[in-house]
Amino acid sequence: MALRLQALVQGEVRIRVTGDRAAFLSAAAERGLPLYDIAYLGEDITVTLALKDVRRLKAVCHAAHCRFRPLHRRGWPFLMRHIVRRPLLIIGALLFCCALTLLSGIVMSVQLAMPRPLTPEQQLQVLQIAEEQGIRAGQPLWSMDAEAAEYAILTQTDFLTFVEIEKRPQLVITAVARREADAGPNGLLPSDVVAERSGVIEEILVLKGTAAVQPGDVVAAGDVLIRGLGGGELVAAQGLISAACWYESYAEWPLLAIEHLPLGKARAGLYLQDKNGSRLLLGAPAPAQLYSLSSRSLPFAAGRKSGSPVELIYQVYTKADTVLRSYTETEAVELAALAAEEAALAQLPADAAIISRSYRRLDEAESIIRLHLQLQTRQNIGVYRQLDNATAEAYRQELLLPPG
Amino acid sequence: MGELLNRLSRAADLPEEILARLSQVVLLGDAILTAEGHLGVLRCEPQQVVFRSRSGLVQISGEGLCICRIDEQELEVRGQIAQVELLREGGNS
Repeated sequence: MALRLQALVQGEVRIRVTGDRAAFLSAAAERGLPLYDIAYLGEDITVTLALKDVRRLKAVCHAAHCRFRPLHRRGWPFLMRHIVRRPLLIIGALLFCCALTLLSGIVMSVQLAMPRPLTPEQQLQVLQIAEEQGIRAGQPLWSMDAEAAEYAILTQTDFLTFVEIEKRPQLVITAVARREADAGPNGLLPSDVVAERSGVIEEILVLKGTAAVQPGDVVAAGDVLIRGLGGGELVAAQGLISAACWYESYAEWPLLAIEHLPLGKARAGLYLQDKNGSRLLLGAPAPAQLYSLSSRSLPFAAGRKSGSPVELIYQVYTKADTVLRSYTETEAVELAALAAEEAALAQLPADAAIISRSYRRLDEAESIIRLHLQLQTRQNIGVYRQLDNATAEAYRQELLLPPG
Repeated sequence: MGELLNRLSRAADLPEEILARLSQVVLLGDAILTAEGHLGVLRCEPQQVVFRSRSGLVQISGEGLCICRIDEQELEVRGQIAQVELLREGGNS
């Protein structure tokens, strides 16, 4: 391998030798001429030797009364000679490299990445400001001032908290929207922020009103978190309340289960359904054996204003076999855990972040795996609740009381 | 002289083939034969390869034989090797 690499770097020649091959090989060996890749070619042989040994080849052939003919050459020296003789190839390669460098320095597209969603109007505004600052497709990257554009976007909008521009051909503007508290369902009507579900308060940020809880407090659903009382008047309380909440779910998975296994055999039928029942038009009737059914209603008389009195139904019966499937304990636990997690996730609101999971096995001696899952999440639990008359009255009285 | 070299190599615990400049023929399975210290090729045919060594002629018989590499010291024969013979001076094997 090392010899071949060396030969490729130094150049090698493959030749065809006509004459007494044994004498040729002996003469070459005697003169210290290494030959490799020797192969028969009819009465002749073909051999490969290093380019630097070609000069001695004449003496070898002369001594062995043989003739040689070069077949092909390869290696770095021949490649270089090939390239040097073609200046246009060099110029083309250089031009290609220049074009590649130039094109990779031009913005091909401008994308907007939004970790928090922006409205279409806000997106348009960000892109317009960026364009005014020269951030647009077709512009060379080296002529852009990303920092100035970032500053302009951040200062000329009031809904962003962070902007970053990555200078690359597929230019990306990362714009992070400021997290705003919900204005509340009742606009300016006085209201409290109350807990949507039980949890432990982790962080509270009051924008309007008075905090009724503090971090570490345990709250139940319906407890007041921010009172609609601030600045000597009744207000619509606003704020962000992050709390640790817990969700529970339960799932079970049997170690032995009866399952229907599709066998691949299927029958299909086209039925016409009207108010009197269905009638088979084409295909096979419904089989009596165990088949699983999938049916699809075909669009019939589409385009009519009034609905059609009849319906075409395409039914496929796939033959299935009933099998008794056994699961190992590990498999059953994994499947039960998946089912439990699915059930727990269905309860979670969209903004909840899962902090931890805790699984607990129940009734371990049975032939069925029962799992209890507890998920801990961090989420915003504040919701608005308009002040009822009694609460509003209590707040008013509180405002009339002298301080202290 | 040969006996003296042999005794010397035994006393110095040196490989005899090096001190006595003997040829070394190594057969790998029935496909590759490597010979160090050859003295030239006498015959090179697909059925038979014969080369000279310090101990006599080495005759390799088989099918599809080919000297695939040769230099001043070493040669390598590849093919389906059926027989390797050492022919002494005077034709005795």
